[in-house]
Amino acid sequence: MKKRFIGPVLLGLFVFGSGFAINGEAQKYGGTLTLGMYADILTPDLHRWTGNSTAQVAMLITERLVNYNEASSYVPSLAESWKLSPDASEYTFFLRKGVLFHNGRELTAEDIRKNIEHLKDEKTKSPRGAEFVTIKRIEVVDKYTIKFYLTEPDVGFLRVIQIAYITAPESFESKPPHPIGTGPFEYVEWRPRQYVKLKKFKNYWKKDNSGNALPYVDEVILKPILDDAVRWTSLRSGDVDWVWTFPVEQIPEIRKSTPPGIAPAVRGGVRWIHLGLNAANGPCKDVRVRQAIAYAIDKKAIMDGLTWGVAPPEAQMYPPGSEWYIKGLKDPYGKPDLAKARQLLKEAGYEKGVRLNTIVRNETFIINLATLAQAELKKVGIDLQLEMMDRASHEARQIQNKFDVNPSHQTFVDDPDGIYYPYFHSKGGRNYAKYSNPEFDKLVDAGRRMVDTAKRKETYGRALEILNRDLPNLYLGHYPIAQASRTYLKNMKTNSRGDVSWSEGGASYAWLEK
Amino acid sequence: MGKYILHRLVIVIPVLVIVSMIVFSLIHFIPGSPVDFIYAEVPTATPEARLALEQSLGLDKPLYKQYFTWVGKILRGDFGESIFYRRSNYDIIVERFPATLLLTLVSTFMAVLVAIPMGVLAAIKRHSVVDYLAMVFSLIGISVPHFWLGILLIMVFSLYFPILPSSGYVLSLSEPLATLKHFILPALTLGTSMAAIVARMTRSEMLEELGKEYVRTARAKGVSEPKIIFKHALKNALVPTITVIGLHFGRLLGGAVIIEYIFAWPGIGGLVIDAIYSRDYPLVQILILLFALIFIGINLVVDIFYKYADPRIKLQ
Repeated sequence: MKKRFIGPVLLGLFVFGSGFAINGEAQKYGGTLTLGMYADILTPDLHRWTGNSTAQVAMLITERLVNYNEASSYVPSLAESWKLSPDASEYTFFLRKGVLFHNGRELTAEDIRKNIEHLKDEKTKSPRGAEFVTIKRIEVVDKYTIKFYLTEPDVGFLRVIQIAYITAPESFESKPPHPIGTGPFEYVEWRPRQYVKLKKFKNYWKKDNSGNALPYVDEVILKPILDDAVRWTSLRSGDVDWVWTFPVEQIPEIRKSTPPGIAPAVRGGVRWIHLGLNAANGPCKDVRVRQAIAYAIDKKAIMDGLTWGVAPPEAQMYPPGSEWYIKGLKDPYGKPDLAKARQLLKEAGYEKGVRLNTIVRNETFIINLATLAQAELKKVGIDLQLEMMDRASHEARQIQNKFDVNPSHQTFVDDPDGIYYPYFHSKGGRNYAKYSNPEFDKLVDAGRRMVDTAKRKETYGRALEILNRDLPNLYLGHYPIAQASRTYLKNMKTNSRGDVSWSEGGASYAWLEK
Repeated sequence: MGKYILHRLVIVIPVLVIVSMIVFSLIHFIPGSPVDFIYAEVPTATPEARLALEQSLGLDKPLYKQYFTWVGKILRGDFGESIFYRRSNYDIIVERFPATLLLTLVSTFMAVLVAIPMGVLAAIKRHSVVDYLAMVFSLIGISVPHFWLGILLIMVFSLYFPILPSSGYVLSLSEPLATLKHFILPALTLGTSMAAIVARMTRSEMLEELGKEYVRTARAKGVSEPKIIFKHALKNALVPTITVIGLHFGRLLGGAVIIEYIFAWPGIGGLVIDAIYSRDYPLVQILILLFALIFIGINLVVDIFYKYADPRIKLQ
């Protein structure tokens, strides 16, 4: 598994400075690791969390049945293994034995059941509770075995189960919230907009490769510092040891002269950048207009402009390294073809040009994407009319299908059913383009029920081909992750999602050399 | 006086009713709802899940019904629960308000402490080097934007001369030095523009007062110069200055949004922006009501101060 993704990941990844530790370097115990986060940590109540910074805290305090590896595919965590029935409607998880909660009690299948039921319970008001609706019944087979019966077959059920951060049921309703998990760090305190403080859990089950106890550091503090410039300055002045993120605009300058004591690490990420194109209303309803847009755009120029050459152009949602990445996929729009674009526009009746309403979320990266696309498309007479809005308005406009062009980037979902179905199936809840193609729907419906991974991959490959022809979305590439640490912080590796805690790395594997 | 205050307090009620109506309708009319915000990044959220969330938040009912439910709750002392934080609004505000209040107090205190003597001095020594320096400071202080000054101060005092923390909030009696250090930069940033305005105001008011006949009379009958300046002229000059300070104070209590953002200050300004951004209707509504109340309160206090500074003013 590991060997398979190293090659492609290195393509999309470059590391400068010495942020990554050399093998064989001796780790040191002790010290406080301070992480500067880009978004606020909203609550320590892990069953009512929202937002990535909050999720990162959850990953340090608790664990899930499955975890992500470096390429963001699923690997065992609290569950040592799992098994699904041939029709993919029953999932059995076999738990790791001897895993202790921070209060010293052993984790059992009963705890897992209580967690899922608590999340699913409407009274909990978990923002993600509705995602567990497909669980019909939970059976505790024995102390270490739990079985889920689903309302319908779903080979991608792991993407649902990974939402559940397992905490001790006795801590569900503690006031103020005090989550008790099984993770590498114990919860100490949360101060809104200030920090979350965690301390090392001495009885953590996981060991490093040489059998030493994890984690190495005594304390972890996560501080939300929302302003990019200030977060970067905090790293430079040593107020924090690590930051997520620094602005990609700074990459060229940092590359030229890295400030002393700082080790930046930029790598290919998983969020997919795209131009959403309305397939049901307005001028883009005509597939020729959508194709003209695709031919007119110089993807490489846009990706270079957006990411300073870090991320290459792509024609698919899954990033290199992911098990769902299709190697050797031919990009029909790899090179711009302005003549063809003009021809298609002429056929569609827009010889004299066309104005397209473009909804732009007020986020620097998306504004840059929109203006770059605007400049590219001007060459063939397509005039993007940019309309700026905040996140909630943007989401409302997407859902209502009120736009022509929608430059954006979307969440990575580890199972293809989690992207292909909601975003492009005619019944999908996120089908912003209102795209509908029975041939495509059939493939995605079939993909949902295929247990055989190789066959499934081929099915989604065919579905992707259709998408690249019909273009409810023009894929551009992936959003790079730009993080940086002080040079004395060793072995703080994150995965392709940028997580501060994952199966073989993160804060519990990091140590301070000072 | 007591009657006056009572009268002013009675006026508060219609003001709050009107503010509550405006806020309630405005926030609901902004495109996008809390459901949109919560589900914007959740690919697996189905239309059914959206609908269920809408119902559980009571957003499916007609607007006027939602308004009366909300007002009814407030009258019973229930300030509601934040949609985004899933906690009681009251708890959230109690948690965040002290940071804003303290920063406002400290920066106002610093500003007044520097600005009033500066303004007085500039007025007495008109056209001197002191006057010019004070006015240059004042001009710069007024024109420099907060966010720029804040980042500049961080660069200088925590990067080039690393003596102060770049951001964050510490309030602890056991760590007085750390508390002080964390307050300096944000208070300085906020205080500068306030000091600039107050200094300018004090100077021009002082000049006006010093040119008046009662000052000439006082000088003619041999009253000492310090007494003329501080007892007579300054007291009169302070009336408009207090208004400016009061208004500024009220505005800062509403949270200095950008400063809180830059210095990672856990105050109320960041809270209200986040609440608007996430369409957290209950929290926005209660916060704006609170701001209205604060403004009314400060205006009242300023009026009472007037009376104190100038006994000729009658409060009716």
